Amino acid sequence: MIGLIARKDFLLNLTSARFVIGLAVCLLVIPFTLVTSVDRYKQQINVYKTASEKVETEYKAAKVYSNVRPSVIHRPEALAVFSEGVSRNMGNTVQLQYGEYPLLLSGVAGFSNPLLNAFFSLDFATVIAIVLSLFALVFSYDAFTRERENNTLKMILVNRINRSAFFIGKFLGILLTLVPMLLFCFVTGILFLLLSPDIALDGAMWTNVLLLFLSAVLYVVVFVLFGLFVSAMSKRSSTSIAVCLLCWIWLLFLVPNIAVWSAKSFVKTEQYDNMQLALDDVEEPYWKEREEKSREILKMLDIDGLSHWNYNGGSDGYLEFSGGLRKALDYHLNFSTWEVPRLIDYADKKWAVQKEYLDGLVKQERFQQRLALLSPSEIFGQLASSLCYSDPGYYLVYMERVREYRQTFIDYVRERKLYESSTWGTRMDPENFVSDERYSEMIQDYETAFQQGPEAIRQFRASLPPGWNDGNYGPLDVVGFPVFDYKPHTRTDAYNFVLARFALLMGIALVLLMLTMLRFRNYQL
Amino acid sequence: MFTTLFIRELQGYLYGLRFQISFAILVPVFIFGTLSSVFSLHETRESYAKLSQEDATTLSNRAGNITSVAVSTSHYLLPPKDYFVADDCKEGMLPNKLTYTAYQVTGFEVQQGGNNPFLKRAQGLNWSFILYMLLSFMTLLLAYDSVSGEKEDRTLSLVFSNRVSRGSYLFAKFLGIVTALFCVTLVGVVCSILVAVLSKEVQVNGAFLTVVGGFLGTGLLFISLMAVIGLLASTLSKQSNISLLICLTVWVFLAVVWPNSSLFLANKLFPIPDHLYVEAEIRRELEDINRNAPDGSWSSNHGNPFYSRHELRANNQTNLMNARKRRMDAWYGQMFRQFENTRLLGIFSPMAQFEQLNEGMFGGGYLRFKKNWNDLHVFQESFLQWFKDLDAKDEKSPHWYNPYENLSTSRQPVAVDQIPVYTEKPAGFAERLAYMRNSLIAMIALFGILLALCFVRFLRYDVR
Repeated sequence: MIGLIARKDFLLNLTSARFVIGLAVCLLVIPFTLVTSVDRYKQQINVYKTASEKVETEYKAAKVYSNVRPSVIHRPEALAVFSEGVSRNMGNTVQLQYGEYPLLLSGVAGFSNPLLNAFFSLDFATVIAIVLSLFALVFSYDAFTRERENNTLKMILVNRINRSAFFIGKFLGILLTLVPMLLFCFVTGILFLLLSPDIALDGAMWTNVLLLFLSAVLYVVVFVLFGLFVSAMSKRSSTSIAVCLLCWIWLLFLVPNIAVWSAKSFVKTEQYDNMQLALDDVEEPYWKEREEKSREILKMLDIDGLSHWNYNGGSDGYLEFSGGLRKALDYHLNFSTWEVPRLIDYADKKWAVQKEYLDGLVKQERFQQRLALLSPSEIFGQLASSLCYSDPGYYLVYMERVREYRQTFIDYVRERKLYESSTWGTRMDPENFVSDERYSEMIQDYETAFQQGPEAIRQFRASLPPGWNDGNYGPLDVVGFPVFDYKPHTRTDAYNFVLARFALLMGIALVLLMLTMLRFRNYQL
Repeated sequence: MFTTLFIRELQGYLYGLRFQISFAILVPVFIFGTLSSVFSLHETRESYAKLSQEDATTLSNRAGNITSVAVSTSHYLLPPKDYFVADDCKEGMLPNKLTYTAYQVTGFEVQQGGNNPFLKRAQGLNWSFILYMLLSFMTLLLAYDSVSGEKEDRTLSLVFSNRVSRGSYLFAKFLGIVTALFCVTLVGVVCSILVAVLSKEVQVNGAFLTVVGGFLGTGLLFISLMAVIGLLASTLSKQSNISLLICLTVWVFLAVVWPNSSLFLANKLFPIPDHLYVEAEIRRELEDINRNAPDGSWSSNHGNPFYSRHELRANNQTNLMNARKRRMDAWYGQMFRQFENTRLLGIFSPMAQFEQLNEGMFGGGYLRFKKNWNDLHVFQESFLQWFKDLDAKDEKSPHWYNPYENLSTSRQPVAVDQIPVYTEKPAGFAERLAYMRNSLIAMIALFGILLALCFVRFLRYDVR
């Protein structure tokens, strides 16, 4: 009997205007959303490739150890085509520093125009959440009321039909109508992935796509049951549709926004700029110590001022020089030996401030996440972003791995005491640096050549000791330095997260099922 | 007859379940949204005050050396405004920090501030969002069965068996919907203003109330447009569920799909080079300039401003700055065009029209950003002139203007209060009107066309 009712409803739905319009909306919106998402992914991949090439080239071109500073470029996740989560808020680059722990990804991952931030974008999971939930309600809101209004409910139930069987039949009939729409959406999505040469999914990712499909089915079930519940609560279709649609807009568009703005209003976090100011405060003694140490070394070596032929330097231990005083080399050897370990110590102190800021962000996000659980669409959204590696948890774990990598890199440098060698700042043979007197003479010669013109300058440059002219030596061999590697599906926390959301959706569905059945038993014909 | 019809319709809507649920949802959301905006405004203002204090300290440190004042990068952070409770005009997402020196306006960026990157991007829960998202939906929900529903209930033929003109009937329906929903908006806005007054975070004065009045005006126009769409959908079908489906599809398309397609359209229809390409081009050009720079262009002697090679260095640095500036300005121009053209595409959507009208009304969003960007360029020229005038008076300066370094211009101190500081001027009435013009015309035209279509359709509607 259940099968008969389900079949009848399914066939009736198939020929209804709702199905035609629903399918037309899916036909129009889903491919369009996928085209935009795939296009965005391509753009991100192009940025990723260009940035990686640039970083790789710079890394391999380092001539001194102080410049061997790997940058981690985050590779966009192909599955984010289905759900972009918070990926649009994130950059794509981390430049490793001795003096600071990496906190968040910086740089630009996709569109370069910051004005485009004002535009929002849709992803596959959001479209599914909006369109399918809407049609689930549109198909179910009048399941009982319409039959009642047409007086067909009485006629059906005067026969030997159990009310539960009738309800289950109705439910299955609607579900059977919606599942093909859902299947169409997913098949289109998968086809897009398979036809895009830039996207390659591995086994774990395909499993996630399957889990996403199952979650979507469960999500649709929740809304169908909700529509049936409202229908069982109402006597008129017009009442039922009003309640259904107002609840729909509340759950889909208001709860997510209320959750975000409640979190922003009631869970205070430090402002990013204030955190930066606090970091400056922590760092302040370092700059004083640095100045004192510099003076101390200058005094120890009896140097009035540092003179180099070529010099490039900056904060965080960056240093590259060639030519100049022998004493300048001694100065840098002493200074780097002090500076780099000190920078690492200060990074630990600064991390306490950064960690507090990060904890604040996470606390705020967790609050938002929990509050958003009031809406099934948000539960589905959280589930989808977690399965598609675009949830906050993914980025938190990613940054943890980057920080671990920084530690491994620093350990490597520290074990070999690279900052205590002259190669930290120069590749020149120490013997080719000159004494004060000789340097003064050379400067004088240069001034003379300068007066005489370009030819004299060229001749003067040719007469300089080996290595004085920048670029006279090749890049360092960086083989052996630690390399960053990250596999997203090694995360175990994500599966617990997904499982919890799945169980929650299931729980809501069961509660709605029970309530609707109870309600329908007492439904007045 | 029209008045009787209107009162009857209005009563029908006001006592209806749909209106009551809408009221129950909208008013609390208005109050909660305002509370949340007030909290956010308070936080942002606190942070802004702290940063301003820090900037003042930095400036007084620089004042010991006038060249340091000129070559160091300063920034202007757009301060939070009272109108954010009504509409933040997406200013938290648009670039809100402009950077400059005396020599150039260097760029703009989005200040992270209190934004949490782990939170999903969400539009502010302000009045504009409530109208844009909720009220538009509720208007359609109220209007979809105005005609088809009455036909199904067989009351339509009954009405027209009396001496009632179709025009009056339709107009009474339209006015009933608009009045009912405008009342909700009014109640919501009044409650919100009370919250704002009690919070003491917003100065509710004449100027504020004037823009709120303007906002209500654009809101009324927007509600009217959505009501006409609902009525048209109702006249297109004989069954109310089909009208409902048409309304829902139109709403999903207008409020969800179309606005969220802008990013894709911007990229496809108005592509601009990405930052990596521009950086590579600039790097190539700068390398070229350095390669062709005369010998001595990199020599420096911090102790002696008159060191002869400083002139060469200043020229080279100026060339480098000009080359970078030329490229960046061209790129910024492309960004502005990309944004403006993309926005223009959305002009047919009532939601986009409403958004732009509000930006113009409040003088915020892109209008505010662009005005500051242009004004800052004018200020930068006067800032440079001020610096050059002071430098010209210093005999210890060789007057070799180097845009990046403190080497060959005056090193005299200057009183902090003498240093020019950029101050924002709000957009004038004419500027705001010009900004709103296209949207206003489009909205009125769309309203007129849809109303005419609705009327024509209803004249031929089979009421039996």
